[in-house]
Amino acid sequence: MQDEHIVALYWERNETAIEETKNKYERYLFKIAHNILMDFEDSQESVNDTYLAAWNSMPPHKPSILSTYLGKLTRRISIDIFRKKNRQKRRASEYTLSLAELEDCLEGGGTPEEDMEVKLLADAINEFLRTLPKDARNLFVGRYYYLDSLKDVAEYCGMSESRAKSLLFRTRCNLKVYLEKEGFDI
Amino acid sequence: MNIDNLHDALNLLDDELIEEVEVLRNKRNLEAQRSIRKWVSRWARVAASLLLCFVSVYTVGSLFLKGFGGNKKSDTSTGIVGEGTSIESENKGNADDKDRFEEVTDGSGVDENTSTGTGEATSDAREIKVEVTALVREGFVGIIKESADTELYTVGTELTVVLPEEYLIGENGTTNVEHKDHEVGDVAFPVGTVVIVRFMEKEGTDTSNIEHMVYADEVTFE
Repeated sequence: MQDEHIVALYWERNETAIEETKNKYERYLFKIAHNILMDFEDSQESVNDTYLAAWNSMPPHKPSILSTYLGKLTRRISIDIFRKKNRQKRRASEYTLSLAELEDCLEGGGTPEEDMEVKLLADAINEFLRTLPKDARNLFVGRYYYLDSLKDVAEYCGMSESRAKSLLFRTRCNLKVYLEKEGFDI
Repeated sequence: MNIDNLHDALNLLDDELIEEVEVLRNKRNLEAQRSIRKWVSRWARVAASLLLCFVSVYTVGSLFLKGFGGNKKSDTSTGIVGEGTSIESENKGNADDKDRFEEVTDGSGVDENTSTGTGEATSDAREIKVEVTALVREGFVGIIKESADTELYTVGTELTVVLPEEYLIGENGTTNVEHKDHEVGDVAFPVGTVVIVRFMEKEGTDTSNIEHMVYADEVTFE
C-alpha cells in the first residue's frame, strides 16, 4: 500500500493503518531499534510504541515521507528506552559506540539543553551535512542516525572500512569546528 | 550541551538526508537478499545433483547386484544341469543299454535321468526298439520291435527315425563323425540291426494316417 494511503488511514482513524504500517515497515523499524537497543524484546517494544506514537501523532502530523517519520519515532523511542534502562549500565551497542565517537565533538558534559537548543543544533547539523560531499554525508547519516555498523555503512556507501573510518573522523572534526563557529557551546 | 543533545538533534535531521541513505540501505538489503537467494539456489542445485548422483549410483548398483545375483543363480542352475549331464554321461557309459531298455518295458517308465538330462523333459522322453529296414537321407526307416508305451506306438509299426545332427548320415548311410559305436565312414546303423531310439519329438500316431516319424535324441545299438 502506498504511504499516502496509510497516512490517510491514520487520518481516518482506521485501525488497519497500524496493520498496514506493520506489514510494510516492521523490519525497517526493528532494525533501527535493534541497532540502538541490541535486544530483541526491547526492540519489539520500541516498534510497538512507534505504532502507538504514529497513531497518536497522525493527525495532526501528515508526513510527506512516512518511512523517515516512523524511523525518527522509533529512533527517539528506542533512545528513550535505552537511556531509561541503561542509565547505570551501558551496554555494548552501536549506540554506545557512536556516543563514544561523538564525544570527540563535545568537550565536557553540559547541563541539559532545552528543546529549542536541540532544534537549533539540528538545523546547524543539517546545514553542515549539506556542505559535505555526498559519500561523506551518507556515511555520517548512516553511522550516526541509523547507527549501522561501520562495516555495513562502508558497504552500502561503497567504500572500504578503513576509508569510511578516516572519513568519519574528518567529518566529526569538521562538525566540531562548524558548531563552534556557529556559536554552540561545546 | 551533552552527547545526548547531539543525538536528539540528529533525530531532527532533514527527511531528504535520511531518505538518501535509506535508498542505499534498501539497495544493499535487496542485493543481500538476492545474493542469499543465489547462494541458496546454487547449493540447492548442488544438493540436487548430488542426490541425483547418489540415487543413480544406488539404482545402478542395485541393478548390478541384482543382475549379478541372477547370473549367479543361473550359473548355479546351469551347474546343476551340467552336473546332471555329467552323471547322465557316466550312466550311459556304464550302464547296459539292454538292461535299461528292459527297465522301460517293465513298465517302470523311461529312465528319466539318462534320457534327457533335464527333469522337466524327462517325463516326455520315450524309448522304442527299432529294427532298421532302410537307410534314408535324414536317418533310417525301421519297424518298431518293442514299445514301452503301446498307446503311442504299437509293435510292428513302420516309422522314420530322424537322427541327430551329430550322426550326419551320408548318401549310403555312412556317418561323417566319430561316434562311440562306429568310426567315421562306417555305416552308422546297417539294415537289419536293432537299435534303441530315445526321442522326445514325434509326428503321427498309431491311429493317424500321416507318416510316423520320430526325432531321435540318441540312438544306441541293442
